[in-house]
Formats: sequence, C-alpha cells, structure tokens
Amino acid sequence: MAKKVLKELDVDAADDQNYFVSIGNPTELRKNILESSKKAIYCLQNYQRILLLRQKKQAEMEELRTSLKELLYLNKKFNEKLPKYKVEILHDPKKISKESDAALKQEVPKVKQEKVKEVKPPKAKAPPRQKTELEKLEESLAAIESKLSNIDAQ
Amino acid sequence: MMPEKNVPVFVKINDYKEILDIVDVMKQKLKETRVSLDRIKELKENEDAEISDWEKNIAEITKRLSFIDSAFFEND
Repeated sequence: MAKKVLKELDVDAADDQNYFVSIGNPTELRKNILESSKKAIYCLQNYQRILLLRQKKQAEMEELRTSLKELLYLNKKFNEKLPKYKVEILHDPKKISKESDAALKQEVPKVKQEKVKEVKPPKAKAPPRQKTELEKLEESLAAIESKLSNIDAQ
Repeated sequence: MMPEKNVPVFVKINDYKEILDIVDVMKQKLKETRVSLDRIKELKENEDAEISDWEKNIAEITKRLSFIDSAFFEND
C-alpha cells in the first residue's frame, strides 16, 4: 500500500492530465462566465454607440463652426457699413465738413498700396510657416482687443 | 476727450437698410448656432450616459470575474 502511494508521488508533469479538480457550484460559475461575456459584449456595444455619437457630434461641431464663421463675416460686414470717422475730427464739428471727405479719400489709396506690398513674393527666403487656425484666431482677437482698448482709452 | 461711443454716428440710408438686413441674417445665424449648440449638448449628455453605462458594465464584469476567481481559489 505504502509503495503504491510513493509511486503516485513520483508522477511527472505529464501525468497531471489524469488529475481533476472539483469545482463547487458549477452552474453558478457557468452563469457568471456567461454573464461576464454578455457584459463584455455590452461594453463593445457601448464603444460602437460612443463612436457614432462622436461622429454626430463632430458633424454638429463642424456646422457650428461654419455658422460662427458666417457670423464673424457678418460682423465684419456690419462694421464696414458703419462710417469710418477719425475720432479727432468727430470731436471737432467744424472739421467734419472740411476734412472728413478729404481724409477718407486720402486713406483709400494708402490701403491699396499696403495690399500691393503684401502681394510681392519674398526673395530666396524660406517659406513662412503656415499659421494654425488657433494662431489666426489669436491674432484676430488681439486686433479686436486693441481696438476695444483704444475705444476705452478715449 | 469724449468717448467715441457717445458721439453720434450718421449712416447713409442705403447702408442703414443693408445694416438692418445684416442684423436680420445675424439673428437667423445666431438662432442656428443656438440649435447646433443644443444638439451638441444633447449628444454630449448621451455620450456621458454611454460612458457611465460602460463603467457599470466593467464593474459588473470585475465582480463576476472575482466570483469565478474565488470559485477556483477555494479548491487550492
């Protein structure tokens, strides 16, 4: 009998296949495995739904961006429609009649000259780095801020 | 110096009409913007709900896996 037990202890790893481990409450275990599979599938469904929602949100945000760009353009148009007075002239009513038309006419070619200068291509210089959309917006914001501070300072 | 905002500004009648049109279009655009923003908000809420659901499902899997683990561990 003792010899038989010793023989059993000497078995190598290959013989482990002949041993079994009992698992209590197998039904509950199976149920839990199936439930976790179900939940994993729910998680994948969540993922797919989130992807769809994000795509919709992206499209909606694109629409919002277009609307805001149009609003910005309209704001600009609105501003252009307002008369361009020199502030100093405004405070001196006598000057308005004499200088306002002349001043405006003189200012127009200046703007044109500046535009022509901008069109000239740079000579043998490295191409300027493309500004990001965020940088462009920062610049626009800075321009508006400076205009606002000018108005407040007066 | 007088602030610029206190000085009256005179706008040509043609420009004035155009300004009114522009303001109308701006109002319309602003309405569209608000609708768009509301939709984005709604989508974000839906996304948050999905993520919360996701979290619950993962918690459930963790719980069940812990049960499975303990069922095996009991035999050690």
